[in-house]
Amino acid sequence: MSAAPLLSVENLDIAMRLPDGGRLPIVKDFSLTLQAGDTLGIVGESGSGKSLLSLAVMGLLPPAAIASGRILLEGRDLMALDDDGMSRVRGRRIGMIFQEPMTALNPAMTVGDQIAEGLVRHEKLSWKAAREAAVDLLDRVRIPDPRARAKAYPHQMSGGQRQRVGIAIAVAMRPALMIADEPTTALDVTVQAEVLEILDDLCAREGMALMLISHDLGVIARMCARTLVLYAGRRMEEGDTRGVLTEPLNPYTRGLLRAVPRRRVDGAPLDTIPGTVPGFARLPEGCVFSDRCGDVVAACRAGEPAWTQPRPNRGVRCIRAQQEMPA
Amino acid sequence: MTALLLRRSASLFLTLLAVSGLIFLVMQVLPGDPAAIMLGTSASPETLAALRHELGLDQPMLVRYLAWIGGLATGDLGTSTTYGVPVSGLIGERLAVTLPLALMAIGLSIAIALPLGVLSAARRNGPADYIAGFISQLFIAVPGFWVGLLLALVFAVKLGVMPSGGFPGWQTGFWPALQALVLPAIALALPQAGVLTRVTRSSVAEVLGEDFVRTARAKGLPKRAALWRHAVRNALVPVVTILGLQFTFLIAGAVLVENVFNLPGLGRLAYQALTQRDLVVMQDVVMFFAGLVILMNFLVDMSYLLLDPRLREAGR
Repeated sequence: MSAAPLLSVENLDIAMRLPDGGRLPIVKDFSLTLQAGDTLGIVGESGSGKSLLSLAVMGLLPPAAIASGRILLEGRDLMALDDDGMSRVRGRRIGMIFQEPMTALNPAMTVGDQIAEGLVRHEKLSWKAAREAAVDLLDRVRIPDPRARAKAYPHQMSGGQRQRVGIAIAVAMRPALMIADEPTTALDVTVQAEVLEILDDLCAREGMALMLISHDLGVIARMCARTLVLYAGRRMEEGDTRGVLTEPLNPYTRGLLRAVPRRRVDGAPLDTIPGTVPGFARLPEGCVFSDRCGDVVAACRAGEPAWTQPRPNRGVRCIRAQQEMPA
Repeated sequence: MTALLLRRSASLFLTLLAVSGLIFLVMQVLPGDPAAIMLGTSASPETLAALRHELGLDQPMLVRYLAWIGGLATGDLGTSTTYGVPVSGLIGERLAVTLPLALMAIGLSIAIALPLGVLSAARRNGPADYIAGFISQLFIAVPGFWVGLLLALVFAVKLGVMPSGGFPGWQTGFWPALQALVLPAIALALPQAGVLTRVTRSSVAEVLGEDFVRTARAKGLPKRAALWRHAVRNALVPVVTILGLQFTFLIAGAVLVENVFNLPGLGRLAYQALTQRDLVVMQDVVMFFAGLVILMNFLVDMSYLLLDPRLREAGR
């Protein structure tokens, strides 16, 4: 074994407590490891549990969620930490960028102060020094005239600029891991590219590992060396991004790839995966994708397939994939 | 920002003018001729007419109105018909009781409601929330003057640690005077604190669900810091709004509580003026109250600009 990985999630289960006292399992048997500097994309449709995953790593799950398993950061079990302990990890070791730049910033605080705040808390800088550092950070996320803009309030900025402020807040303490949850979904396409480039650049320069959560395969293909496909809270497939995208092992991944809009010469309608993501309360028996899968066989409904590794660095949850691949 | 201030100031002035007209009209339709009341029933028509002339009551309504607001503008509020002294002096003297009383009540109400409401919101549906909810419901349900009577009974009559009523005057020293105001201030504050606690709770609870609170936590702020620096700060607009509205009830409450505790304040002056048909005093005191309420609303409006930077531009 080499040194402890940067992040290692082991057998994570997340369930939601229901008002009637029951529990609704959302994420099941989730594991991943991330080395320093790695870039991992987690792709899944809305409602696949991907945001819960990122919140679990941050220790910011909603009160109704119950998590079990282990989340190790630099060898330390985050789930064993109390809130004070976790507050020292958040922001300092793990930074997070959120989806909605319109609502993710405090409307009553200048953006400079919102960036400086983490530095004051974690690095014990004076407000004066931290505000100075904030100007620097705004410059690094390519906000023009950063000294003046540091005194602006979020409503005085565009969506793309606010998301850059979000990035500045997240990178301020040079965390080892950056989690970005749909960082560009709410932005215009032209602005998306710019924000992704800034993020990519900062991660490379600071040697930060990136966990990018998105429903957009294009974004993940561009940003991440490895890709993990999530469906109904289960890992369906994982591997190097090129492998997953060009030689998908799981029928669900194939469906996702077919559904990426592209110019077609035959004029046929866009491919879709039939049906919709089932609610977590109504998952099918056996494989969770069996009710929408084109390759389904009787054995798929007999039991949930196990996670297998048909090749080094490739993982898949599908009995059909095992049958097709030589062991 | 300056334009906004000017516009609001202009509307403040116009509101005051409209209110003064309304008050004047209401006083005209009130039964009872002040001159007749001053002289009693046995006065001859000649003396009555003479007094009416002296008081200016034989002038047309508009002339009397203009004379009144002209006086208001220059600080001449007229002379009390029962006390025979200038009303401005009377109001000033009574204000020295009512103003500290009102400020204490507001301060106390905030000091109770803000921590209790924030605690409630932070521990939603926990035991602390239920206890705080019970306390605030109790405060709301029980009328202030009754709380006043109860407080006087316990602390003044039974325990003897507080004066039961009356006011020694500030010239007897700061502490005795302040002490006389403590129980009335509590009686005034509790019902207000009850409502304010509920408003604070719901407002803070709502903001706690906002994305930016999660952002604050994600940068490593502990719960407490995220709560006070981010959530409470953004929850204050509704709280201040209610505080401003409550000011009206505070004045209404002061009339009652000052009578319960026998305090020579403005509320008591208004009450006495009403029972003695001292229309000059009544008109002035009601106008003074109205002016306070309007001024308070103006200050509340202005405080929004401090609390929410988005409004600084939106209000242009």
